Amino acid sequence: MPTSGLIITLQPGSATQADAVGRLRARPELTLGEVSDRWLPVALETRDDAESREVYDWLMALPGVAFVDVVSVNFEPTLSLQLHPSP
Amino acid sequence: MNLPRREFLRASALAAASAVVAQRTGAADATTSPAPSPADGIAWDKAPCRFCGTGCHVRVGVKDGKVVAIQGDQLAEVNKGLLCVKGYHVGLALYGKDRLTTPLLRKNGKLEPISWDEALDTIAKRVMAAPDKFAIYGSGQWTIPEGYAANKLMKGGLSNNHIDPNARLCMASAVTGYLSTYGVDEPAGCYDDLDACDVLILWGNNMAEMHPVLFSRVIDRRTRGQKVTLIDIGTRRTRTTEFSDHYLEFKPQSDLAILNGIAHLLLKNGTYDAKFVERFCNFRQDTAAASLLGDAMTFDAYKAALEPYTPEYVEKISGVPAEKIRLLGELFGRKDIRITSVWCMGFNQHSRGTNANRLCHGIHLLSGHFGKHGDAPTSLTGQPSACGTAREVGTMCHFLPGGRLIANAEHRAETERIWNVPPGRINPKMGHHTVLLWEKFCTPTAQGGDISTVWVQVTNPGQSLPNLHKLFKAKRGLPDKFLIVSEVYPTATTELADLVLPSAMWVEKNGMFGNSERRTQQWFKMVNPPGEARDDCWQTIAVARKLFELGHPGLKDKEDKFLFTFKNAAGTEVPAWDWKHYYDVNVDRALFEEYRAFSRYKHKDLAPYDEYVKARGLRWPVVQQASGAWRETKFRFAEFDDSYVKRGAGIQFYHSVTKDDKALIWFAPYEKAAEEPDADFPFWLCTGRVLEHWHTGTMTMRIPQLSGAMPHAYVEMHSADATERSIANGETILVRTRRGQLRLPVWTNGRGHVPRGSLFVPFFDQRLLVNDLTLGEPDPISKEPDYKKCAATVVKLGAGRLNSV
Ligand code: SF4
Repeated sequence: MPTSGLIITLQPGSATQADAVGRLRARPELTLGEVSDRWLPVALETRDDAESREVYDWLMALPGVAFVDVVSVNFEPTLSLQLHPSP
Repeated sequence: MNLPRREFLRASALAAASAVVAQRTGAADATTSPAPSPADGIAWDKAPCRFCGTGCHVRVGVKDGKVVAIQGDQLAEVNKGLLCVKGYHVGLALYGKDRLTTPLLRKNGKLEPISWDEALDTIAKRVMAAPDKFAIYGSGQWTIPEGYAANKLMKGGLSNNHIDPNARLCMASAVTGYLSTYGVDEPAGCYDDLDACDVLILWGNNMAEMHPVLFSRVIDRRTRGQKVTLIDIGTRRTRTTEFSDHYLEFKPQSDLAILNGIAHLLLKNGTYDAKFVERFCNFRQDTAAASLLGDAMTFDAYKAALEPYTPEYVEKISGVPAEKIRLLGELFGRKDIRITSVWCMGFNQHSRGTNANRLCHGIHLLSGHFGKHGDAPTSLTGQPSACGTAREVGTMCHFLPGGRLIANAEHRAETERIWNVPPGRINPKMGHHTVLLWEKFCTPTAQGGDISTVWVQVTNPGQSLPNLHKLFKAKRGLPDKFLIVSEVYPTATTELADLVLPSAMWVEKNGMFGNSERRTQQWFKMVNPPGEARDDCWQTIAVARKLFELGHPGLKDKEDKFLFTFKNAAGTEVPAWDWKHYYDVNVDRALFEEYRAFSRYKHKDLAPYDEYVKARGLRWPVVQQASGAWRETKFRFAEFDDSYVKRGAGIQFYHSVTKDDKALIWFAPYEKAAEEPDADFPFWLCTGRVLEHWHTGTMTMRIPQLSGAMPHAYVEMHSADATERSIANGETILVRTRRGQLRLPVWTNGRGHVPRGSLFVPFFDQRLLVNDLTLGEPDPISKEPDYKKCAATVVKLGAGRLNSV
């Protein structure tokens, strides 16, 4: 289960912003922080990378979202699948 | 995973994102990192990202001896807490399943495990047998101490200058551009210019994908309501184009004409900055045989040379409408705006790369768009330490550390003094540059192939050299040639290796990098490398020690001491060549402190190692203040920021070629590419990178998230060209040049869009080596090959036979 911290830059205009935030709130993979200025911090938790990509693409296409930045990724839960054999 | 742990990770991710938002809005102090949670169990430390030359800083989370989490570092000015898709997966680059964990020697055609001792002996004996036929090929991924140690071993120990980095393939033309304009390498400005410019011109530079964090920094200005005009001047539409106000698509190679067209308009309209030019500039042109410093020319001769480059003439050459050339001319002619130009491989991997660089500096100088924040011409690098190691440490075949030259007797003497080696130790003859080095290695000894052993560190020439059949694969049939490769994973290069040495990477070792904006960065080892993998720097020192023990006289200094002698804090010598003791002393600190002594000559002053431990990098010259504090420099040659500029001078090019504190404005004509499309090969072929993969993909292709997002190479083709040839999107075709052919799936509606008559193929895919096809025509001055232009054809793969179309 990859877990990422994202910053969503919202487009100006309170109606568009409110609408976008409403739609974001409806996605169970997202945990929303407080909107500050036009930025919304978000935690994204997905089953796998394919789902992460799908959510990311959805976010980028969402009306009211200007840009999505990723600030952190914790891959600890998936790492055991990828580790090279221990020395 | 249990629920509380999941909740904890979710809360941590939200906290990290909230902290960056708080910093952006000014609600939080930008000088402190979020406090680590004790429940976390993760130890955090700082490091620059392993990948590109942007030089973002990451916070690396380690748990149970493994890197388990990555965050953008809020304390880093470069990236202010952000990372790109590669950066936030950088930790996984360590954990591909096929890490090399033991030395391997080819026996009867197969790579067999051997001990480190046997490996070191093998190398030392090869070198002893023919020290002058030995070469080291490194890269801009060498850490500063690694590159410094290799340089010292070769030039100060073996009196052998056959050492060159892969940086020759990516920024050598930027170096010659800076040297021939300002007399000293590397940009005057820095990334702060991106925050201050009114106009940002991207010269053949897909910043949105290649330097995404810097691009995000610019886009963020727009979301804050600031106006910044983006002009994308390129040969194909990219993600950068989508965000640009103007897109000027030019015919390959004709950027030279566009640059001349701008200078022509500045002169014709009288909008050049006459005062700036008179006070701070001289004029130059190339000699009949291209040379670094050329011939002086008068202002009138310069003006006359530019006379033909009218907007209409430039349109004819470049395909860019005359009114767009006028737009550029008008923008450069304005005094009320600030213009920053950035470029990367578009200018550099160019058969006239030095000239493209010179002309770009020239229009900034001629127009006076120089010397203020936001008014600067700045090259970007592709590798994390192309500047810090390849350029500054001087690991090129004609350089000595700190901007000194092999060819200069005083420079050699000074270097010998700092290295404490006898006078005359450094060979005055320049070594082989990259292309020549590999050509010589791939040529039979009897036919003049004077390189018999090459040791490759931190790079993958088997994939990244141009014209691979000639410059790399030809090694296959030459039994007396011996290839040593220090690597992390099996690569196209290890496929032909005779000896493979498993290396530690990134935070498995101490390190220092220097990014595109003159910022020197430091990190500490955080986790152990797997198996018997060891630091490249140790490998160099251990081989040097073997040579010392075998009696090679060059490995002794003037006091007969080993060239790499280290002492601990108590003053006791530490045998760092013995892996058991390598980390008993901080070898990086010792080598860096020795190297610092070289940094003053060209005013590239470096601070003591411990200053970098505290900082997220410092931009040189880092000058000590009366208070004892160390102050970095954001803008060189400008009095407002550079303490080496004389008071009252305003601007001072203190390494001026003409020794009068003036920079050089060059004239260079438009010249055709070495190979252009014709009836047999009707397409231009351009190669490059993609967002998800870093260079040859040896690391990023092993990160499932990145290889999944971009799993294989492809050929971008215009849909009309495809339709005309009955080629469907996704269909596999053959791309052929005079040097080779490659089967590739066609992408007509991808994220990049080539114009008609052009193809683009990325080079990250080891299974689909586009460099089998490239020409690699070198720039005559920098010797950097052109990867962006050659002639190609496409062949539809018919049922059972190939149909040329
Ligand atoms: S922009 Fe470059 S340095 Fe920054 S995170 Fe991405 S790959 Fe790393």
